[in-house]
Amino acid sequence: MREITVNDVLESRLIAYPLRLLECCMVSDGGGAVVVASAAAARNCRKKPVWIIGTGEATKYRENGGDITVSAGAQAAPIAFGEAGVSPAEIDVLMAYDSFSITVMCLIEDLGFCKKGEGGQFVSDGHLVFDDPRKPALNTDGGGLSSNHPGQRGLFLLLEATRQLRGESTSQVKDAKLAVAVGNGGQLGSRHATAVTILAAD
Amino acid sequence: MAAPRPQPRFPEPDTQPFWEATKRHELSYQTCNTCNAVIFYPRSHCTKCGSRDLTRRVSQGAGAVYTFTVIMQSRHPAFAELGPYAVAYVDLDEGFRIMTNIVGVQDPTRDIQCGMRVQLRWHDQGEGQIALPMFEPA
Repeated sequence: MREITVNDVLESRLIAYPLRLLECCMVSDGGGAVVVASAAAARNCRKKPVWIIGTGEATKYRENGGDITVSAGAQAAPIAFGEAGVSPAEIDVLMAYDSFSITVMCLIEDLGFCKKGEGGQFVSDGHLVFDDPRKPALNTDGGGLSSNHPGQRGLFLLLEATRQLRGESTSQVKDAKLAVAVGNGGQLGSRHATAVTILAAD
Repeated sequence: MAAPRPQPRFPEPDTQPFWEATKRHELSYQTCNTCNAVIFYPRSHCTKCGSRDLTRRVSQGAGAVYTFTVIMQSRHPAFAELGPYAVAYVDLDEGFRIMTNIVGVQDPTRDIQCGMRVQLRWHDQGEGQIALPMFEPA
């Protein structure tokens, strides 16, 4: 494993202008599973459970004159945060789908971690680093950009969020209590959907 | 000679009139007779109010680039010979947005800007074949 610098990204070859190789997710094999159980069953498991405290999902369609940088996450996030009764500022770990660098930027903004259009500043300020005290840490498994994307990347968002809330991550965020997993797909096609899940430590 | 581009498959009642019109070099779109919404791509119903009472219209073919990308690697045999080529959303002056190619530029990564005015240019594929609506700088 080695650190990828800003220069490495900017010097990697163009794939689809303006996106360069290191701004596109890896294509890999892989798989995973989650077990969702009743509270009573979860209490009897060998490992500590994590709790689903809020969910939201929305669909969006291409529209004449629409802003393609606004995902359905802008509709899904208030539903999930409202159900959970928490705000983005309280989230310790953000696991955001990152098919491309722009995807994760749109989701950071649409979920309300910063204002629309301020994502660039938010990221370059040094937020999102797993051992930085400013919340949230982002994609601590490396994300689709640096870890894996077998085609069902969303499952890995839930897996790493769960590891973080159990204190088992290899890039452990200190005292992680709240995590968000947000999956998104099809944003440049004729229709797309975004799903937001908010998880809490036991 | 490049391989043919992927073609639409028929029968397809919603889009067939659109493709037929391209043979006459007509870029068509629809408006809703109930709520006046502009509809594109072609459909059987209004995307705003659900009405099936639509009018087919022909665009003047003038618009502006909403956004674009330049594909640098093209493994499909129809596109491999093109080298880097631009895929764009163009907003037509009549109020609809089309995904298309920007052609007629030297270097697509330098010569195209968001907001740039463009005009329709048909890409013919042969006698009796559908034509593809593309755009070039106005």
